[in-house]
Amino acid sequence: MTRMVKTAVGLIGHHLDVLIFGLWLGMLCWLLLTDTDKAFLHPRFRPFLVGGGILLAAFMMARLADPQQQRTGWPLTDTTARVLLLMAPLLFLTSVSGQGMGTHALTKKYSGMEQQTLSRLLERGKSQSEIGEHQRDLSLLEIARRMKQMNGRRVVTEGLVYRPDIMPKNYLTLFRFAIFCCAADALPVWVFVEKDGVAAFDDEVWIRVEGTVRIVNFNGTDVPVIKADTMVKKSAPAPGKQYLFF
Amino acid sequence: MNPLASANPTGLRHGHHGTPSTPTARLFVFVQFGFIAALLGLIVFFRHTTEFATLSITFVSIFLEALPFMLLGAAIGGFIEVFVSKTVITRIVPARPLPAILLTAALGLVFPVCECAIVPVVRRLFSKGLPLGAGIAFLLGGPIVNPLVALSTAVAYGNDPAIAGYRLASGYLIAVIMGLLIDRFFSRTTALVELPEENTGPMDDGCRQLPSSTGIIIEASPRQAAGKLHRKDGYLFSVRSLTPPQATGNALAVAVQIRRALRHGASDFIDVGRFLVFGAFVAGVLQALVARGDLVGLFGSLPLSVLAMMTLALLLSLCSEADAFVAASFRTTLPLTAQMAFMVLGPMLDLKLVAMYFRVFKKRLILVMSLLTVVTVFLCMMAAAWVAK
Repeated sequence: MTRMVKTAVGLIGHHLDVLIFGLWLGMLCWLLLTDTDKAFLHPRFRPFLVGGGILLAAFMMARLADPQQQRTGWPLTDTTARVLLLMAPLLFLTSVSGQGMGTHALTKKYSGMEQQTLSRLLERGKSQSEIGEHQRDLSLLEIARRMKQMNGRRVVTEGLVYRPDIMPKNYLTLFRFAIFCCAADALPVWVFVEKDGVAAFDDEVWIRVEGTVRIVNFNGTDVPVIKADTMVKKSAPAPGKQYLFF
Repeated sequence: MNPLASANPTGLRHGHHGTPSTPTARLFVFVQFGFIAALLGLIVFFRHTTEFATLSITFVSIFLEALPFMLLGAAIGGFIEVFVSKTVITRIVPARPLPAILLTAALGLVFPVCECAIVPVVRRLFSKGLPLGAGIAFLLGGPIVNPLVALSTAVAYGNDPAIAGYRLASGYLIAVIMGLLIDRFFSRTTALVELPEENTGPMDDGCRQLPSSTGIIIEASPRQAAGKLHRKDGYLFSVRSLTPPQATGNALAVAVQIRRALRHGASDFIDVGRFLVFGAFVAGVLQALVARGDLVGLFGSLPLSVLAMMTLALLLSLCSEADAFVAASFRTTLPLTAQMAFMVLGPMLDLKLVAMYFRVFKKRLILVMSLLTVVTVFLCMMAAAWVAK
C-alpha cells in the first residue's frame, strides 16, 4: 500500500506540469461545451478560448514528449507551489459555479453615470433599427440604449431586484450587468420600477416586469422608470444567461 | 525515442524552473504556500457570501480573459527563444538608445499584443539581448500603440478616430519617455531578473556558436556540460547525439525545434502564470471592496479626477482592448484628459501587470518604473489639458 502511494505521488510529481495543462484544458472544454464561459466572458471571446485550449494541448504534448526529471526535495516543493497557484482560479471557478453577480457587485460597480452615458453612447448602436415598433420584450440594455425613444412605450423586461433603504416604498431598482469583454468590466444597467407592494420582493430576486416606461428627471438626470402593471418572480437564469452583452 | 530529443550531454536531468537554492527563494516558496492556504481558507469560510461571489467572478474572469493571451505570449516567447538569435535582434534594433526606443515603442503597430501577452515576449527578447530602454518602450507602448486598441477605442467613442489617435500618440510618447528614463538610470544587470537555468537555452551562453538549424539539443548549461561535449568540424555534439546535422533532415530538425519552443513556452507560462493569478486575485479583492462610486466622489477638480481615474485603472486591471468602453462610460461627467489617463495608464501599469513584472525585473526597477510611469502619465495628461485650453 505504502509503495503504491509512493508510486502515485512520484507519478504526480513527475507530471505536475502536464497535470495543470490537462486540468485547464479540461476546464476550457467544459466552459465552452456548457456555455458557462458566458458567466465570465463575452461570447465573442470564444475563439480566443479555443485558441488557448489548442496552446494548452500543444504545451501538454510537448511536456509529455519530454519526460521530466524525478523531482524531489525543494525542486518538487517549488514546482508544487507553482502548480497549486495555477490551480487557484480553477478552485474559485468551481466554487462560484452556478452563481452570478448580484446586489453587492451593483453597489461596487455603480458609479452613478452609467445610465445617461449608455443612452448617449449607444443610441448610435448598430442594432438600433432591429427593434420593431410593437416589440415589447426588451432587455434592460435595450431600454437604456434607447431611453429617449422609450418614453410612453409598453415593455416587458426582467432583472434582479435591489431596494436600498433610502428608496421610496413603492419603488425598486431593477438591474442587470452588461459586459464589454469580461465580468470585471461589467457596467450595471438599471431602471426604477414603480408599483404598490414592491416591498414583497426581496433583494437578489429575479422578477419579470410589464409596464409603461416614462422618463423622469431626478436631480438633473433623466432616468427611465417603468410604471408596472404586473410583476412576477421568476427563477434565476443559468449564470451564462444572466448577463447582457454589448 | 528520438535521439535528438533525448540528447543530454550530462546525463543529468534538470528541473525546468531551477532550484530555489537561496534563502530568499525558499522563503518565496513558503509565501506561495501561505497564499494558497489563504485562498483555501477564503473558499471554505466565505464561499456562500455575496462578497465572495463578486470577488470570485471578477478574479476568474480577469484570469480567463488573460489566459489565451498569456499562453500566446508564452508560445511566442518560446519561438523567439529557439528561432531568433541575438544576431537578428542586434541587426533589427538600432544600437543607439534613442532610435531603438523610438522604433520599439511603435512595434505594437506591426506586432499587436495585449499587456498580458507582451510580458513573456519581452522577457525572452531581453534574454536575446534587446536593450533595456527599447524593451521598456515596447513593454509599455505595445499594448496601446496597436491597431486593435485603436479600433476598440474608436468604437467605444462612437467611431471617433481622433480619440483613438490621441490615445495612441499619448501612449507612444509616454513609452518613449519611460524607455529613455529607464535606460538612463538602469543597466541590464541592475534591472533584469535572470531567467531560470533551464530556460536559458544552449545558444544563449557558452554554446551560442552552435548553429540553431542543426537540430542538436543540448539540455545542460555549459558549466554542467563541461568535459562532456565533443567538438567535431566546428560543431558541438553531445555524447548521445553524435550525429551530423545533415543526417537529421530539415523537417525533423524543424519539428524538434518547434517542440523545444513549445517546451520553453510551457515553462514560461508556469513561471509567469502564477504572478497573473496573484495580480488577478488582488484586482478581484479590490473590486469587491472598493466602490467605483467612492472614487467618483474624488472628481472635484481636473488633477483629482485624473488621479482618481489613474487609481481606477490600477485597481480594475482591465484588458487594453476593453478599457475604452469603461472609460467612455465616464465621458459625460469627466474631462477627456481624465478618461485618457485611465486608458493610457491601465495597459502600462495595473495590479496584475505589476505582479507579472516580478518575473522580468528586479524589485527596485519595478518600484521606480511604477512611480515614474504614474508621474509621467499624470504630467503628460495635465500638460495636454493645459495645451488644449
